[in-house]
Amino acid sequence: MSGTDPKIDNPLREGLVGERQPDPCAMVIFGASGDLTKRKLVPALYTLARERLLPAGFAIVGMARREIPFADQMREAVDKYARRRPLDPGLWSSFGAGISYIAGNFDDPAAYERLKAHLAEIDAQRGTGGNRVFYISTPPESFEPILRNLGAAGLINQQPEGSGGPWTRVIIEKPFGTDLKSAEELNATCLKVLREDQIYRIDHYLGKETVQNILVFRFANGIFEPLWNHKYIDSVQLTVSEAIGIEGRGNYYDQSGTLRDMVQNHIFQFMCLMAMEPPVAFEAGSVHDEKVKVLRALRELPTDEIDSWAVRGQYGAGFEKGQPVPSYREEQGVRPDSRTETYIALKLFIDNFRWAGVPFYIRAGKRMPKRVSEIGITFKNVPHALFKGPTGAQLGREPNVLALRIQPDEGINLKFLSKVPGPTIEPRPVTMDFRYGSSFGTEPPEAYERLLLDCMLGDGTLFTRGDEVLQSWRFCTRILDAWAEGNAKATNPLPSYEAGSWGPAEADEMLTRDGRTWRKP
Amino acid sequence: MSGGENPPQVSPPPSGRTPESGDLRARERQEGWAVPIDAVDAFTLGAAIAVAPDKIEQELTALWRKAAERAQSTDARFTVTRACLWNFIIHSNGEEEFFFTKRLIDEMSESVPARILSLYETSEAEKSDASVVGDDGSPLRASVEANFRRSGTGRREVLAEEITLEAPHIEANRLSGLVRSLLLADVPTALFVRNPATQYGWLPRLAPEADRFIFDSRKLGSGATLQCTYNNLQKLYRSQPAGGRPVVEIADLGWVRLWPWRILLAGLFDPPQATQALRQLDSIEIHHSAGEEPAALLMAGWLLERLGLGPVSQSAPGVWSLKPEGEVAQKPAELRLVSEPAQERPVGIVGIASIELKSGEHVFSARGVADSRSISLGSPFQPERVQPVHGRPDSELMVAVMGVGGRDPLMYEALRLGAQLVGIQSTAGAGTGETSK
Repeated sequence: MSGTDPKIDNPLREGLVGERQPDPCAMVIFGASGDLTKRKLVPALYTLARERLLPAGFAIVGMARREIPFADQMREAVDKYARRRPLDPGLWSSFGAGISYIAGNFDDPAAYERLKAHLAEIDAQRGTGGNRVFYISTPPESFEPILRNLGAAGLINQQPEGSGGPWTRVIIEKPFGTDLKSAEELNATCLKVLREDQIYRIDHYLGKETVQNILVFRFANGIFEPLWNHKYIDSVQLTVSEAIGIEGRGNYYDQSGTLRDMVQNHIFQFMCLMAMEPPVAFEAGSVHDEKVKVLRALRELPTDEIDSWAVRGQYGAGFEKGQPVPSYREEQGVRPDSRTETYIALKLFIDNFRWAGVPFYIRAGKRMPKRVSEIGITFKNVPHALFKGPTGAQLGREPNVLALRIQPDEGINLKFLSKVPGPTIEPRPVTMDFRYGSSFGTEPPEAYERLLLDCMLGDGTLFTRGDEVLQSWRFCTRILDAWAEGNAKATNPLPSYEAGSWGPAEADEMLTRDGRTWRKP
Repeated sequence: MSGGENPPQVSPPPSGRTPESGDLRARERQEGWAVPIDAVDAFTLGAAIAVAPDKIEQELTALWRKAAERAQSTDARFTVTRACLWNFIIHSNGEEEFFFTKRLIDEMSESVPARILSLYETSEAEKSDASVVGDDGSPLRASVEANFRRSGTGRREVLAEEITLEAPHIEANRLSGLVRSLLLADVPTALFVRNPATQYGWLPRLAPEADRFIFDSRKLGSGATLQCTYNNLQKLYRSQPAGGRPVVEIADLGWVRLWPWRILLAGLFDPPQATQALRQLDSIEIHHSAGEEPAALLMAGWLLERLGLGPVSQSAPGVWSLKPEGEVAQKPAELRLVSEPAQERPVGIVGIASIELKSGEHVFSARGVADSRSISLGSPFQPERVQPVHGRPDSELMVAVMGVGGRDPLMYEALRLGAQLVGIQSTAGAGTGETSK
């Protein structure tokens, strides 16, 4: 929360629990002509306004290179993409009145002078009080000139929040770097003009209700946390699969790959929330501290036998929902000899007291059978098989499994054994199932709604801190380097998998060697 | 009967449960009655199964077991997951209220699985095939049915149970004991009484069972009834020593309906200049439609409580003098409640047309906007804006008050002050404050 909170003295606010409203502010979106602004950002802001979560003094300023009818486009976008549709004309009359646009090159200092004058006008007209959120939703190469020019134009207030003056916060979209070196450089650029607490590195997965629920599940229930360690947990599997391919993003994806696109950010964030120690408080600093500890405890993978620990694959031709789909190398924008991975399976260990010896198996990929994000926790078996079948075979040796489903069909289920009714003892697995959709009967907010609101409130808990990002890049860059070395020597073949399958055989073998199998989520 | 073992013994349609009556699940119920099905099928379709009042638990156990067995078959169109977050006692007086109750329960059960104990007080004795005839000759009928929701795949998910106890002129002695025996352990109990201004004989006996007492001030209709409700609640709960048990949480659906007005009005006073103006308030004026006086009184009560203003006297019908009693308001002010015919001005969704607070030359206003469910907000310190206000069905409000929305201590304070305003009005011998503009 910002330090200057006028609402504290408003007696009518007291007791109105359940809604948080930020200070008046203006949000400047760089890259406003892009898809993200249209599909996610402005519809999310409109929904926040509709839910009475935005202050009266609020304005959006779009900025991009070319001239566009921004307000009209945003009206169309809200009508098409907002969670609450159709657009409410009455609300739009006041929400739309706060939308404006400035065309300019991101590396042109004059554009920032125009922006500065424009924001001063908005402060006077809409009472935004000098508070600013700058949302950088541009290709990564524009991050540096935008930050530099914002600083040079005096648009960033570096006074600590709470000192009474207006505040400035900057949201930076992913990718935050492409490897450790580029991430360090970008971080250094940010820190030249901003304090760490002004930087909101966004990972929209953290805005999902089910991801946040991992913390509630672990730390608000007394029964699970005592079991949450190597004494009771056999292994953990994190799966993020997508049925779709690269959807016309060949140029981007071929430079990126699954490790950069999914693992370094989203999956490592899940893993941190799942594995971290209880923070001393549910606030940004404490949560980030614990996440960093998990990343620091990740055992480095042996680069000389990287393929045993990090299996990569690339999809071949196959079928998606019965329709033939091309191989990755046949996709538009992809090099015909590309060695970019569209699938990855990792075997990780977190070397600390809690997780000693517990393997974390991670897999992510495109063109898999279905879209699933889940964490599967397999518990250790009972120490002794009490129940035996007529032939003496051991019964009841199936482990308990707790699955935290992030998407779709968000929820939690627990598999345990139960006696089949009848005269004999026959244990059979049954599941207890909790589903978000049917248990609360309310539609969860879009991830961007939550994250934009949190940023305006000055709450960075669901964003990533600089040291987290660097630590995860440190780990991933070693893998990338090992792969690059292998590519150069062409010693490691790139396994392929059929589109619509669960990945290459090598990934299955990685678990088979450990006497385990992948879950079928 | 015995759940599922005997030939079909589906209860005749309980009075009023016909498609014409607007019952949301009439189709399923009708389906249940139309085809030759047994009690288990009827149960899983949501039809009411007549049971003996002293065999309710046994019948339910059998029905759930049989239903779960059938859900295992490959062609089953339903799943069975028995769940319960609350015991929920709901009372209906007469057929009209009973229809409302059925609809409310069906919709509410989609979000909050609960053991529903529906007490249906019929207006007159019926000659019926009642399962049990009481000593006094009053028939007490009982039926059970399943509540369910649609899963994402469209399957019917049978998850909770509803027990209806039906009798003419319910007698407290018999009823309270039976209800107590049917309350599930380890889950809280909510008691919904639509209009607690009425002196129900059974209410003082059942009230102590409740962890949360719920009513709907919008059904009260007048300030006098609101005052009566407050007095009854005082007698039921507040005048009794807690005796070590937790204080009962009192929740009002009408209060939850006022939430958008309150949050929007509060937002007008976020700028420091506006907060300052609030301390120098001259007047509060609330326009409401006829019959919505309770909403206006609750709104006034909330403002008085928050601003530390106490009602002193009534200077004219609908006009009260207020004096500062706390640390916020710094000077005396005036409260005016104005009742208007609903058609003259837009009244939003809770019967409030507008709220205006004046402080010197500054006017802060929230007004219902015609032809759309929106509130227009005016302040000298903020841009004017229009904010949609979504009407929420009673079932959603009920779900809200069964969550954190039902724990709002400000509600009872607003009710107290609203009742106090009516009390001053009565003492002054004034009318109901229905001044027309």
